Amino acid sequence: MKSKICHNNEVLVDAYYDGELSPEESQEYKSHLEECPECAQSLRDYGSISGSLADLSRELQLGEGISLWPEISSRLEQEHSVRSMKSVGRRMFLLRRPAWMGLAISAAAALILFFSGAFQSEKLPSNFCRIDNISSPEHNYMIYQDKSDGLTIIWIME
Amino acid sequence: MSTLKEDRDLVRSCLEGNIDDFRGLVEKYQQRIYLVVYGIILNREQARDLTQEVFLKAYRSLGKFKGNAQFYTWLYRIAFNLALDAKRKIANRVQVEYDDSIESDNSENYFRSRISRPDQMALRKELYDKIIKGLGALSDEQRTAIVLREWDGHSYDEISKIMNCSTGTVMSRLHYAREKLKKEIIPYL
Amino acid sequence: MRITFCVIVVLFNLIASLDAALGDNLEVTIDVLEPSEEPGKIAPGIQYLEDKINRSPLKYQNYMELASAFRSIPQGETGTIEFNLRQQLKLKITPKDLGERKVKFSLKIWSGGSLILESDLTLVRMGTVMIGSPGNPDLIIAISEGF
Repeated sequence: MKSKICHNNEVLVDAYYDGELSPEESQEYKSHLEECPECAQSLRDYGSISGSLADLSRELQLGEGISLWPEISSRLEQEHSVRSMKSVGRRMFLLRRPAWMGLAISAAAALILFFSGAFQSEKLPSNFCRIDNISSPEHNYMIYQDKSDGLTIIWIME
Repeated sequence: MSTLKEDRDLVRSCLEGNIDDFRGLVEKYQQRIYLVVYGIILNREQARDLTQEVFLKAYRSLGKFKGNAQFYTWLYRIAFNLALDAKRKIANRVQVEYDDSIESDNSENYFRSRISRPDQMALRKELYDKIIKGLGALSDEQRTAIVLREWDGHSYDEISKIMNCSTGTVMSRLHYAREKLKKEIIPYL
Repeated sequence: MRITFCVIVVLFNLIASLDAALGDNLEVTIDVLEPSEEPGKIAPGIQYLEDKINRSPLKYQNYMELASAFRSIPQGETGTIEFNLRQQLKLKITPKDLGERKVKFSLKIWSGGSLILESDLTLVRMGTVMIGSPGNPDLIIAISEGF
């Protein structure tokens, strides 16, 4: 049976575990732990998860002494020299392919694009919101909608 | 903190044309950016390539870095956005090619494991596969939050700046990620 | 020809089912902000809203993050979120339709025990809608899809 503190705020256990609570809140939560076996178990489980994730991250090392710098710096140099090479013979960069292959590839690509929904209508604004209906028993309200990202603010007035 | 001052100095130096100082920044952050990127796309080859792209993009945009925020927050935000973009381009909602083998191609890393018995190695590999599968079942946002927290030790505030969300959202993403991972990993431990 | 037709039908069904199978739950994150006239920077926890707020008609000096909640609400059910603030706030959210790009839900808000808003909204995934609730103090409720 969950007591009030964790019932009202499920993420308290995470905040406590991650050391994000204030000293007072931390103290309060510690006392809660003494009477809540579920939260105490959660903390133990979180500890196990952290341990496993830490082990995994050690396996995911790029490799001792390996640096991405050589590849990055050569890419940067390439870009720099390509920019200054613009005028030099472009033709050598054109790849020759048989004509029918080009058609087949573009047809396949079109099919894939179609089924992946890329031909759908344009991207929606990042905060697009459509108010399908709205009412307020005792208050007036104003609606603001931003033209660029669609942000909608419904301002209920006193 | 001396780290922050160093970053800012290195950035200023790069902008003055000293490309070698960018090397310092690359080598300082490459491993950590790689982990964050891996956390999003769960494929090591692609993560390695993308990590390069992150630094290339950072270099090209260095002039835009205002220096008011911390450099690493800015860099991580680039990594987060780039990896997310790449993943979504690859396959909308379709299973991404996860690493099915955690055996390192660098055999030195493999043998450096504390456990040396073959059967224990196999068990360990199975556990890693379970963890990766568990990570794969999370949303991109949940996975990024847990990776930033567990693999890179960022505070909620830092994570909220990197992921451009509220700290409340960070907490909920972490909470859900942990609850889901619990189901996958705990029975296995 | 027939086989091609069948393949296309299968593919379309697959796409349709992808749309529905994207999760039977509506995930929402709710942040409650208190604006104030005292100068200062926006609270770090809600900095993600700063750009949006700056472009809006809201012209307060400062915002504080009072409370935050999240819910994963199964379609067909109603999630209730209550905030024990100076103004008792209660929200009821009922998911109606969960599409690939947009979600539709109904929203009811009570403040201090009285219903102040009832609305059906269609919101883009990962989008935020904001509601200003009058009182002492005024509060701004930011509802975002996803977490």
